[in-house]
Amino acid sequence: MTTPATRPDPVDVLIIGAGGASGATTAKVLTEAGLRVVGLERGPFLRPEHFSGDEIKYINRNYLWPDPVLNPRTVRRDETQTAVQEQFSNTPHCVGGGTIHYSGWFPRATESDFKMRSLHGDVEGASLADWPFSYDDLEPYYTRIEWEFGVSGQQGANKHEGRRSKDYPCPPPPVSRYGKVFYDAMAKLGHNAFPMPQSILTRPHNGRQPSPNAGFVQQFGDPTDGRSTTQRVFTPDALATGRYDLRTDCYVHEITTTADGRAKGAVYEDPQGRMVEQEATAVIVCCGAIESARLLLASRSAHFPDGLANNSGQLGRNATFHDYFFAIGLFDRELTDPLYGWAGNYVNGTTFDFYETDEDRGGIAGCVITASGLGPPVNWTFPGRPTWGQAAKDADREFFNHSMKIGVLLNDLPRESNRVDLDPDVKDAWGQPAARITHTNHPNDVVIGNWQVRKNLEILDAAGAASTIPVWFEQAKGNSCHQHGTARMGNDPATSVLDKWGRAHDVPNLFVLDGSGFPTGPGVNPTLTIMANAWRCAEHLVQERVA
Amino acid sequence: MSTDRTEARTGPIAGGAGQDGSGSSSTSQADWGVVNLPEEGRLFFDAHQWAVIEAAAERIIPADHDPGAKDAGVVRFIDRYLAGHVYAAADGNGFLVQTGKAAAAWAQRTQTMQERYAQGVSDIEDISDRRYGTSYIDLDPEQQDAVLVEVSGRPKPSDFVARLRAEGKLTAQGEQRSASGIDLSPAEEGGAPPSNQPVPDDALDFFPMLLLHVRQGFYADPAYGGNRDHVGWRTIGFPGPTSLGQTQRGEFSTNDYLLPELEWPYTDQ
Repeated sequence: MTTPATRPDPVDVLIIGAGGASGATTAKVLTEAGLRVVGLERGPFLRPEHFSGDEIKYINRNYLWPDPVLNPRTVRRDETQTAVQEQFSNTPHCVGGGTIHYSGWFPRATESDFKMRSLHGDVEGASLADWPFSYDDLEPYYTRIEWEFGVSGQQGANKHEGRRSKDYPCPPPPVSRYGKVFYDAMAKLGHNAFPMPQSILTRPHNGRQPSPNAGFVQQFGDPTDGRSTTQRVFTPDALATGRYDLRTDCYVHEITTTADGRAKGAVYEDPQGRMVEQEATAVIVCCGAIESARLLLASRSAHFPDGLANNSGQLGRNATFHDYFFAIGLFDRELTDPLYGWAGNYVNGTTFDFYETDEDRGGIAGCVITASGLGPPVNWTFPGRPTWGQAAKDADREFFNHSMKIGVLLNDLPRESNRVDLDPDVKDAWGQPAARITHTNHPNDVVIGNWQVRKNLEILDAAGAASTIPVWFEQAKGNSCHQHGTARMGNDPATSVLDKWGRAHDVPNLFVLDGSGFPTGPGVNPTLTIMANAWRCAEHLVQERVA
Repeated sequence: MSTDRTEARTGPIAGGAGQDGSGSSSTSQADWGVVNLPEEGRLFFDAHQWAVIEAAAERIIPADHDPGAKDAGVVRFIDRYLAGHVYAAADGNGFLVQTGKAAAAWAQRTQTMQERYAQGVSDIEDISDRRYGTSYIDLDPEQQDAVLVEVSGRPKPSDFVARLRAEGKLTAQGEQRSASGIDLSPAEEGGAPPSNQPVPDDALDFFPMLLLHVRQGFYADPAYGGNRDHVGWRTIGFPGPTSLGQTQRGEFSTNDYLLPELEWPYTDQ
């Protein structure tokens, strides 16, 4: 470690990973409560004018996703294997983080998500745990975030929805043609279906204009007001207080500690390549579950030889990643109107009919499914698509506007052996060890996931697809960019890393407020729950400080 | 013909911020500048490589009653990428000039792909010469396809649409069974739509790399040099924006292709 060249004045709170969902939420809550905060973000402050509907840039050339040469990750199935480099669970490094590339699915977790252990007991090969708080504890914060973000949704349409203290601030976006086909099929099969809540404005909200529905959504940065991100909403709020010093393009090497085992601050490399040590009364880590675990594990000291806040040995373990796969339908253009899978906001209809446990499926938990297109022109494809020649051109022309998929978001069960640690060999462009992911799905994941693919094939049949193509669990290439569980919240310091307020059991002024703390993945897209929990914990920190 | 290959390759990965020593010029992605490229002329390929890739691309997406890869300008799309121009500016006018660590990483990938294309063209010509005693450029379309079949090591893709029509359904082929005992459908070609672990194109062999880049050049925004006059988009019925600038300004909408008059539950069933 190079000796830091500069040591700015200490502040109340240092947030590491300040741009993303949890970091920006935390910055807003703390600065509005009067605290002086420095935020460190390793990525740039990209502005809306940096973005446009450029498929090549966003989907094929990693304009937002971490460069795999500079930011390698390694993956292996189990401890007997040597991990190989792979782009795994990509989230953008920039102000806004995951909210920049997401299509804004914004569902709440359900009551059962918070008590998997109580519901299912000791499942062999899994490490189920209850959350140290309930849906009802989080509900007020769900409502706050939904109204800050202007979430669109249809009150009462999800027959499985938990208690809501307030309606959605915006009505749902227009239904798409493939969405209509999905709704018809679900009705025919006797299933409930409703518009996926999305953080996309459908009417003016807090001075921002509704989305023009340009269609470049999943993985694209949004140049318009339409999609709510922490770049557009919470970061400006925090900056407006005058108490937020957001430093972008700053790469943190290490969280430093005092002799008595408290967090002291962080050493980072600034945009000019100089080493800086920023001290703070409290340090909050918000880098996402993989990077937060990596940073804590890399921050070793005499006091914490196995990594900061890792006296339990649980840091990095019980990671969950939400595998994503689907069933595809191809439709006969002579019998079916065009589906225009690229129109609108990527996803349309969803259902929670398969979300809660039904033992008849052969396992526990379940899946959220969503109707969507197969992607924009370059990346539109399906297994079995001819790849060149007249056959390829014919297939593109025949099915580009006559295809859809029904996706499966798999609620993978946590396992102690599914973990993030430091790769012994591979280093990133800053000389720090890469995150190494060790991951094998629990057998329950395979059974439940493939049951759902079969169900989705049935739905596509009912929708009138001329041909259906499964992409089974075993064929899934990659997960959903969702990361949770590497620093579990819990009441017992022997089996968890954080307490119920996100504070490290071992380090009283260190907090982790991203998805790392989730004892089990919520079965839904986690961003809303991450933000609601960060708000809840940051508010508690403020109240505790005042007391 | 000008080339900026040498320039694009400079700078080690470890370089990065402030490598000019002044510490004054930002290497932040937020501050990348823009370079305008000439409409005509070659940047990476020599004239012969250009002609071979253009001819091969035309067999990969052939003209029929709709234009093909040659009409779309796919070879220019590839040429620009191989010359190190990776990202169009947000409004589509020119290309971003990367700096710092990102520039060094892309220079490394670009060099790998340049070498693969140079070798690929050479292999195509060797096979053409061995089989037909002449350059690939001078072969008839069937001969050109036969060379691509040899390069790829696999048969030419068969007529999927006709097969689907004949069989009524696309049925799972092959005997491969998954761990849970279900049939795996044929995924040898095409592949599933992108999820979240893309294969970096510099990791591909020449032929799959060429297939990917030809497809990209046919369907990418015309700012990249291919999809000339939106011929790719018109072939498949994608209305697309008139320019990236139109999307950047928030002036592009797909509302005409949605059903805004319908209300939940959106069904008469």
